[in-house]
Amino acid sequence: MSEANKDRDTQAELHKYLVEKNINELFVSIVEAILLNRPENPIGFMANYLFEKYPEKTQRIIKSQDEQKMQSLGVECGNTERIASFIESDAESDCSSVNTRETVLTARRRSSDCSSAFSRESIGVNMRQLSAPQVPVRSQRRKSVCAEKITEDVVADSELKVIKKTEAEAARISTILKNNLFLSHLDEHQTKTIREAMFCVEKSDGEVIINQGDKGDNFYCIEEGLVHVFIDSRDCKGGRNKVKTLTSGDSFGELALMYNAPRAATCIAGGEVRLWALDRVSFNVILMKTTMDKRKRMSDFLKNIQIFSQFTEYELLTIADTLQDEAFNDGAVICKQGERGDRFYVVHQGTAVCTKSQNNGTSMEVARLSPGSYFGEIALLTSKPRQATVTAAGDLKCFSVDKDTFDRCLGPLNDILMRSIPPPLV
Amino acid sequence: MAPLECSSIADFDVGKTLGTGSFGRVRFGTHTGTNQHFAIKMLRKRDVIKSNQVEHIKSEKKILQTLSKDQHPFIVNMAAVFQDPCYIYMIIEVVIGGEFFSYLRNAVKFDNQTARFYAAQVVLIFEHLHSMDIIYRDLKPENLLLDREGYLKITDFGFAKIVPFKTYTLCGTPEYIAPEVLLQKGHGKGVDWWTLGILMYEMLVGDPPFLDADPIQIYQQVLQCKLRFTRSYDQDAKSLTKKLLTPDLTKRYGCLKRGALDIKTSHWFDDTDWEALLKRKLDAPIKPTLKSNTDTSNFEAYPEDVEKAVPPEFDGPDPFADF
Ligand SMILES: Nc1ncnc2c1ncn2[C@@H]1O[C@H](COP(=O)(O)OP(=O)(O)OP(=O)(O)O)[C@@H](O)[C@H]1O
Repeated sequence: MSEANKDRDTQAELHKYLVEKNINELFVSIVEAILLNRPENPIGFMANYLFEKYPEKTQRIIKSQDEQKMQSLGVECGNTERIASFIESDAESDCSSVNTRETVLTARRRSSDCSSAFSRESIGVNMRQLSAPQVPVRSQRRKSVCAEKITEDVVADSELKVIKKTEAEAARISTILKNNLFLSHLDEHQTKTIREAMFCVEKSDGEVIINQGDKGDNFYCIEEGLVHVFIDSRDCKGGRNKVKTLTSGDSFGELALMYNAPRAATCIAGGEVRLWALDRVSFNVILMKTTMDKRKRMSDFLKNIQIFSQFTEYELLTIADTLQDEAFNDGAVICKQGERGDRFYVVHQGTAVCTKSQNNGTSMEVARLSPGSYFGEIALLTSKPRQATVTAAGDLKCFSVDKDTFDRCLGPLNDILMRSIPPPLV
Repeated sequence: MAPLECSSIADFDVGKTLGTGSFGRVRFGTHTGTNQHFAIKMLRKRDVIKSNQVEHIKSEKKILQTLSKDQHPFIVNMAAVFQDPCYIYMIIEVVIGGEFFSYLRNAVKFDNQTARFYAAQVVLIFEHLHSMDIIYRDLKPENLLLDREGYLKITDFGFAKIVPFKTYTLCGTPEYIAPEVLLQKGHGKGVDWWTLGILMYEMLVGDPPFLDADPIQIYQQVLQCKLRFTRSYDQDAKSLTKKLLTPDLTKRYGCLKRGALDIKTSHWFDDTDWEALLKRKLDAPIKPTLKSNTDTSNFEAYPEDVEKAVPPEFDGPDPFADF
């Protein structure tokens, strides 16, 4: 090829680039903004301008630069994959470049995870120097997040779905839910209700389940098959990198259960896949409904207890919040006559038997407690020995609270009881 | 600050942008009738509707109106609120010292006394809000401003809510969200005390305790709640931080029978004169430099927006008709 031809080719290529990337318009808009504002510090201003106007694009560049620099500083250590979750906020353009700073700091934190606090501080200095001049302060503000509001009316009106599953399927889902940090705190009833609401999604080889950047709606558990996880590559060429393959028993997309955020990765079926999905609204409705029902049931129990009859609604709800679930097997002894007690119990499922020992050494049944009955309330007032032994007759579930917790959250029961006694007239 | 008679943006000379938010900007403005200066928070109705935040904005307005009756020294007061086809305008007392956020980032971290001065004001703010059953839910350096004397003013009541006991909608800022919010089991005043713990940590260390580029990773850290303190972290501050960053609500300071008193009487605040603080009689550690009461140089320069506002689209009745 002749020199002239080569030149022409380069020219054409440059021109093509200018047009493709809309460089002209970009510069016009920057100059326009500068002239409109006439900033003292035009360079900082331009940087801010670009950050503000193109949060997504500016962030990617800085991120990858930061990452390179951090690697060259040798601060990267441990597991830097981020695949366990699938939402990465830089995928949506309306979220500002908060992550720039976070990425820098993340590397810091990770590096500190495997070293002492001392080295964390010393690395911190480096990273600050590294990131400060490059990233305008303003671009680092953190955005608030918010879920859609679900009113109590919606909750009251909504019918919970029950989707049929085999026993094996139900067991697998329960295990997945139990092992998920965000769902493991749910009680048995909640886990069951959520499991029942999960619906089946089937995909065949190559089909996209979720797409990076799309709004998140569902959380998924894999029943059967493989799911490949990809993250868009950050270089200018585009394309995406496979970061992980998930399989039966794995789950993904839990951020979608919290609020609407763009997906952080793309998940594609590898072969035939069966998934169980749960959407955010159903999840929230279930959680609200079960939580409110439980709170209501607890405060209904409490209202009927003589010792709490003077309590305000707020105080009853506060007690309800301190109550813990306790389960006992048949024959288990919950408290023993003569021992010091510090817990108060309400039976909410099953039966408990109270016995008292007689002078002749035998013990006699004095009461049977059914749901709504309570025992041990004296323990909230004094640490007198238990007056009877209480044993579970069959499977028994109770709510309970200890004296210290009660005192911390409500103050001494004594003081509350005294409120209803008029002060002496002297 | 007395309520202001005004019903249109035409009553103001609109000046420089002081800050930007999700739905628009906050600008410096002068009421031409009285020559008083204000911050004008302009919210694009279109964006508010699009992101389903109409209820939050209504509640922000209502709460600011309620709070403005008390004129709390550390809470911004609202003088007026009105709308036109495209915007909601909130006319708010201007807090001229600039953003607390910028001061903190410039300093990287604060020394113990400085952090304590600000934390103490936040305690008083929350004590006041909670006494009215208002929870704030979005404490972070970004929502605090410094006034001319260097005292805090809290702004942005977008997530504040009147909640006698519990509420359920997940909201906040990832680094500051409390575990009970993430677990969606209902949350109350306790979330604010959690965020105070995060703020203390961020002031004393320079970063919040739970940090990652990926929100899910932050949330995992929050639920695991492993705290690491730097060597320079004051011991009393550390023990208070731990009491605040306690996932168990029957143990978290601020949520117990004694309420804010547990915090106010903790050792870190041994030398804090709460009354003097509330009366603004203490010397502030950072005093903004100001040439005049219209000097906005403590705010960063923002490119002014040139785009035209577009009226909102909605099906059915105007969601702001009763605003
Ligand atoms: N009273 C005020 N005086 C001076 N500046 C203010 C005032 N109120 C707000 N600002 C500036 O405007 C910025 C945005 O304000 P604010 O947080 O109230 O808006 P927002 O739209 O609710 O934001 P977000 O999207 O973060 O919720 C603040 O960070 C601050 O810089």
